[in-house]
Amino acid sequence: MKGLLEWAAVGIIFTFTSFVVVIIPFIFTRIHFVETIDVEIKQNNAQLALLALLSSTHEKKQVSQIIVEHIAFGQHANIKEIISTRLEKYTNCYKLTIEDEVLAEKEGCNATKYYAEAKIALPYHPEKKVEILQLTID
Amino acid sequence: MKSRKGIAPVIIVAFIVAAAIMVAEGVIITNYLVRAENIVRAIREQEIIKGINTMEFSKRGLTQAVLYSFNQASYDISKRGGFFDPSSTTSFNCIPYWKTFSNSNIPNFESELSANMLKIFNGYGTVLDVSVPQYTQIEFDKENNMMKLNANGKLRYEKKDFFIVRDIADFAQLADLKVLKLFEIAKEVANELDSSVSSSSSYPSALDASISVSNNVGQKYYGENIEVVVRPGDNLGSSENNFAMRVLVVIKDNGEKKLVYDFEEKSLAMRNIEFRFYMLLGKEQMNAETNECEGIIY
Repeated sequence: MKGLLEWAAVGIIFTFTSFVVVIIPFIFTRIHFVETIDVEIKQNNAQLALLALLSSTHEKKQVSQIIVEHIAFGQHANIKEIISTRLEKYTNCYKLTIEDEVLAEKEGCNATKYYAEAKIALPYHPEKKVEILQLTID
Repeated sequence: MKSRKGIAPVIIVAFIVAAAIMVAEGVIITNYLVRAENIVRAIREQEIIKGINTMEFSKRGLTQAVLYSFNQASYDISKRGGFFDPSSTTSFNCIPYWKTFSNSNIPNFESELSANMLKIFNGYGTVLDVSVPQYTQIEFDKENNMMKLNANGKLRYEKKDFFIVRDIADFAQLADLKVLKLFEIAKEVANELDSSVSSSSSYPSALDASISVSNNVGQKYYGENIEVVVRPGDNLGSSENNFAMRVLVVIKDNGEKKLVYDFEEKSLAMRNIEFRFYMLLGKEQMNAETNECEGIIY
């Protein structure tokens, strides 16, 4: 009876170990892949949100142009509102930055996870032709 | 003998368990392997979508760049009377003489505009995330307020040893082509001034004639927010009847200001587009006063 129990214990350990040793790498690989896809999809969503933002218009002017004028002269006092109303259609947590300036940000949340960036054309300048606009969403 | 009998069921159970484990793992591993292919494909698809999005961002950048290039070229060239480089012709303070008595020197404005717009626009293509071909031709469609840009290749985004996204580089863009109208008005003013001042018998009547041209043409385009300014200069001739005068003509679009780089102030500024040129008219022939003009380098 005692020998039988020992065999049974060995059998259970063998079964468990062989199952786990073979399966765990696959599970981890799968989790890694799924997470990678998830990150890629969310970064693509960030890109699409940024594309939609830049393509949209405000009073017959493209938002990308409004952003450029804001960079050049700080002309648009309501730029945060213009950007926020558009980005909120796509995400609940966002931050739009250009160089070190935050153009718009969702209050009460700090977006850090998924980002997209776009080079927007600036008016002719001998030293600088484009500026990088970065959108981060959560 | 007794102990062998006791082990037999354990060995059988162990075999059954081992077989069951192998079958179960086989099923799970096969399932994972099949799915892994889909997962890898999904990751590759996401990369391709990213490439397509990058292409879209670049196309968006180009459509904005073409407007800025157009505004800059319009501003610089119209301010210099339609010549990109007034030093290549007779000019004073970078303003060219369109007419020096019987000699006409009216620029081919569309050609100057498109050539210099291309210089600026092709500069943007070098800093985007996709490979942009050289744009070689711009057509202005005045009726539909459109610009058509043609390139000598395709837009291209490449992820080495993986995929290439290509897209047509030629495109059409809506634009405010009022500057072309300013040029037409400038030619109209130049023709009228030439005939009315040249037919004037004296300096005072030439002055009246030039002001009358300014008023007549100015009134005609007042409703379109276009201002016509004619500034006749002093009598450079030897007498009232044997007169000569330099007239400055400014045709200004008082509508929407454009965001441009001002080479004189060396900064970005909102500016109206305006055409400026001189005419040297009258009875007494003389050389036009000229000076050096610093060129613009894009």
